[in-house]
Amino acid sequence: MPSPLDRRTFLALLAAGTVSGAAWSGLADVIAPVADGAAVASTGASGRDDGVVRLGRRYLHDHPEESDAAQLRSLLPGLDATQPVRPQLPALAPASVGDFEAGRVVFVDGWHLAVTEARASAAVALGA
Amino acid sequence: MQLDARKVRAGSTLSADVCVIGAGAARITVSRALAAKGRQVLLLESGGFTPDRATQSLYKSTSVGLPIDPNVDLGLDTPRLRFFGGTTNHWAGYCRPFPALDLAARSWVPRSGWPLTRAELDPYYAGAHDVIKLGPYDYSIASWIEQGHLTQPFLEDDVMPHALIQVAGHPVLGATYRDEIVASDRIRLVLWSNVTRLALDESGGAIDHVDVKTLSGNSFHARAPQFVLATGGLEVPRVLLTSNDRRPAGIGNEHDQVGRSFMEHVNIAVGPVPLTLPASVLAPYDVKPITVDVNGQPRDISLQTVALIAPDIVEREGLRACEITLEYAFTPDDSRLPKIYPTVKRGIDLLTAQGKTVTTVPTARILCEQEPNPASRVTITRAKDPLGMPRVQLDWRLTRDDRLSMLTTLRVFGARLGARDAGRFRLDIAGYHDSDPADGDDVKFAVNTGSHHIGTARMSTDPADGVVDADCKVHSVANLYIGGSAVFPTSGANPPTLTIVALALRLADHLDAIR
Repeated sequence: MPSPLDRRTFLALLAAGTVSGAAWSGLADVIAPVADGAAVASTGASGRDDGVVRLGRRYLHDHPEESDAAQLRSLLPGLDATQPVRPQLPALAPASVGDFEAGRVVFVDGWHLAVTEARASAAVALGA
Repeated sequence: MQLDARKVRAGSTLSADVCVIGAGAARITVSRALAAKGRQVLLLESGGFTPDRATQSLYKSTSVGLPIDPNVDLGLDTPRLRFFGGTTNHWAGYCRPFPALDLAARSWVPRSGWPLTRAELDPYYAGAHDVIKLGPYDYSIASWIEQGHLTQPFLEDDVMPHALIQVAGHPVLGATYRDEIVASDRIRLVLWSNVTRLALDESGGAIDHVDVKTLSGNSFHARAPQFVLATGGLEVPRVLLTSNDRRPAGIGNEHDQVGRSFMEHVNIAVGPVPLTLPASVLAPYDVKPITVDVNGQPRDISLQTVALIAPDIVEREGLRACEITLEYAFTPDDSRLPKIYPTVKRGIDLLTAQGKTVTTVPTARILCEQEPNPASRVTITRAKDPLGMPRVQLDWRLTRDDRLSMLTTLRVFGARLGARDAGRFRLDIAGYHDSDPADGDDVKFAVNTGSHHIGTARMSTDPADGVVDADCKVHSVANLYIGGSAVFPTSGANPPTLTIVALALRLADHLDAIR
């Protein structure tokens, strides 16, 4: 099957700053770490060493417009709204696979992630 | 027969049917092939049979463009070896023929297109397998799986087809063929002989002789009806540009092409790949030694598969050729892993939180083609070596599209990993690890190249766009031929030596046919 990624998508990602292709030195924009708590409005998960929280914080740093926990939850398909997000992460796996198939991907801290799992990590970081 | 240039009578002239300059993969191959056809060959080798510091220092060069191996400071002289056998003396033996697409003119790769097809090269690739002592000329992964030598690469699908690499068990061609060449009554191997000038004849249209000097101070000439210059992608332009007494721009440089379009293979370990599949899925990506029978003779080779991007995606996305492999796998609890990839735990945690178990963490490595860019070039400087030869200066450059191509390729790779629910990938250029974890080594450097010097005397149909024609003859010189990867119009993403040897066999056929 053909790749879901086309040049237009890629250039859109470039424009959004999720990928820097201008030079290898630009890769620092993709992989540079973010200090704990940076650009995060609140965090219910302490998890200094929790990779999910760290990735979530980085996503929020890159996408501050998505820093509302309720809004983030609404973007995650099939979640039980009465339960925390973290235990429900396995249920999001099919959606993430679908994201990868469709090219809905994002670099977070250098990790090549599905948009769904990146948002789910952000929700966890926000304590949702 | 073996001679010592230091003992050749000063001012004399050695003669043969063909004068071959250098003694690496191309020149050993063309010399043996010509000798087998009954031709008398003069093989001029700068060094001896073992490394010599003073001779090696003749390679000393400067780099003003992109740094090559900056963190280990290899410079430009270390990847090349100036003694009998040339750079094959430290060649790892990796072989893969050019795919047909990478030889073709591709609208999305400027100045691409060889004046040769894969079909024309195939018989010579088969012959090169005998020279290098590889397995059968069979690059079908399915075929090797059927024979029980490989397992199915887990990433292979319509988006990421895979290619096979054969690795020579005994890749040091100097060692393999030294005795044969020394014993040959048709090859005169002249050790310690450095060619410092190509001298044109009275007409100015052909080479009459070459000037040879030794570091001991001796000098003499070599004369032949045909000359083959095969000294590597940096030294070929050096000799051509230095030979400027009759043609001020240098020999073969009427269109300012000599030294231009220098290409390297960008060869980078790009980051960790936590996998949730059994570690055994990595087997086809590892180098697996086997012994195969070729015409009744056992040959030691190894097999490895590499992932590619499907041709339709390559064309649609405008990608350069690139191969991806997985190497140096760690278990996720290996204490060395976070030292190499400090943030690898984040990806492992994410997968674990999704209910998956990370079993192994290999590193993804890419080896990529760059476009032939005239601004990426070799020139000669005012600084001279002890023989009076100008030193080489390299200005290596990549274009923005070269970099975009690498990133797009990695995005396709990352997307396929995720789509197959096999794991995740982190782009971690700074965390490059180039040593086997079994050795306990630490991080060494961040960027690497293939140490492949390509394209400085490129092959072209139009003399205005290259230095040699499809027969590897310098467009503007009747009897001067170039061997080696200097003539490659594009680099592909495959190791070059198999093609170097194939072209050398083809050149020998041509030289014999036109005598």
